[in-house]
Amino acid sequence: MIAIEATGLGKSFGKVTALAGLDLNVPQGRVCALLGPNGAGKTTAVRILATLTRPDAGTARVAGHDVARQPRRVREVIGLAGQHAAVDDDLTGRENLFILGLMHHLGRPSAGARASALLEQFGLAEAADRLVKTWSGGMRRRLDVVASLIVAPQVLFLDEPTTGLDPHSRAEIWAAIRALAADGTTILLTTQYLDEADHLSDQIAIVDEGRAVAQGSPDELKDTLGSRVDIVVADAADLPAAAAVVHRITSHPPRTEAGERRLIASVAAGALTLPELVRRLDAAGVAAEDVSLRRPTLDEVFLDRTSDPRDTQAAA
Amino acid sequence: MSATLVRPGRGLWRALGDGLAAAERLLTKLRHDPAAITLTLGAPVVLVVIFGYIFGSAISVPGGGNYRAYLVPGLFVTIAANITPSMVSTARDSTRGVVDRFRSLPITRAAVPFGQAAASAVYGLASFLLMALCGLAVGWRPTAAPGTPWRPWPCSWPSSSP
Repeated sequence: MIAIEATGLGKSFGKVTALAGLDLNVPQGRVCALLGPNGAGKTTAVRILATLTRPDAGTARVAGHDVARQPRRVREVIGLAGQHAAVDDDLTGRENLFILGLMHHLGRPSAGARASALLEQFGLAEAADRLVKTWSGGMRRRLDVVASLIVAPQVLFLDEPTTGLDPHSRAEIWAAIRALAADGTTILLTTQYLDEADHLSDQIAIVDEGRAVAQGSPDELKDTLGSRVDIVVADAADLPAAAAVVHRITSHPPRTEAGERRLIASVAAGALTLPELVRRLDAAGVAAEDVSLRRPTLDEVFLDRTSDPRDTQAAA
Repeated sequence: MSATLVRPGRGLWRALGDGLAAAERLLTKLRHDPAAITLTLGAPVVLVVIFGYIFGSAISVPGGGNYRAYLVPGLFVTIAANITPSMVSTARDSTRGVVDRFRSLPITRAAVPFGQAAASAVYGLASFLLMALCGLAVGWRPTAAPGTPWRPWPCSWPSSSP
């Protein structure tokens, strides 16, 4: 079953187009990462799917319910943790969860029991009765994620859940997300961190200028870029010769910079083996110090598919 | 889940329950903030005492009468105008994403403002009550009985003179 289904979502705020026809499909039980530069429309997409904003165009269904026509149905099955830690600093952790339990119509006894169970499960029991303003940033963020789990949502939206956290707190949030995914919760998270998307998600949608420019598993996305050839020659004068060798394999000329000794190119996956590359370089009389043939990193996929936000701003 | 089985007539109770939960949130917050409680409840008392005794003894009401009979209703109005924490806290909540969280919950839209109003009413009433007691202690005696016909300003003010 498809848990999140968006077709042609569009939204503009005045002259600014936040979404320009976003399509997204996330099967039930998957973790999908929306990855994109600042201003790509990630948050707007999450806000529309969580019924906080109405789309100008397109339709979206969450767990089978239309977000524009049946928002209340959608709200019953989702959890949302936004960009800011939306917990009350002036309440204790337990009180925060208890009040949300009441708002989920659990009734006082079950709201209290649920709060205790969640605090225990996510390692927050010790601090539960202290005011949240005395908590660390990581604990607050964790509480925020926990607050979206009061009624075990079918679909969970996490908008930049680890932005601004130290590596230790990030690992804690990651562990919490993995545990939820293992329980079968469908999760849509937005992130600017490529390693986060790579580690956590089954599926990545790279969003740029309001559209999903690429979708697939981390491996599939890396495969679309083919393999990366990385050559460092001993003498800068050999670089053009090395470039010629690589150019014969790839269709477009490799990127080189005058005076540098390094060359980076992408070749179609499986088009070349490392020994063959070395043989060809040798035949051309290029003394290479370092030759590598590797899969692209997600960073490279990202940079390849997205525009630099500074360029777009300059153009606007 | 029971939430999908809303029978007619239950909607209002649910809305009320949502509103009370929102009110409980604000009152619980206040409970953790003794300074705010002191300020909310203490300020009217201090005003009654300061104006009633320090200035009260120096001011003579034109045409005679008890200054405190004017003072206490005046302070009621001042305090009512000062029940602004609800606005401030609403603004703070909306910048911090708390409102987004509430809006993603299956609660009635009116619940959050209703909760603000209910919480304000609770601490507003508490401070009025304390101030009225204080006023009575310093010699204020309301003379308008329930059912006294309302007369528009400025004819209404003499009714509170003894």
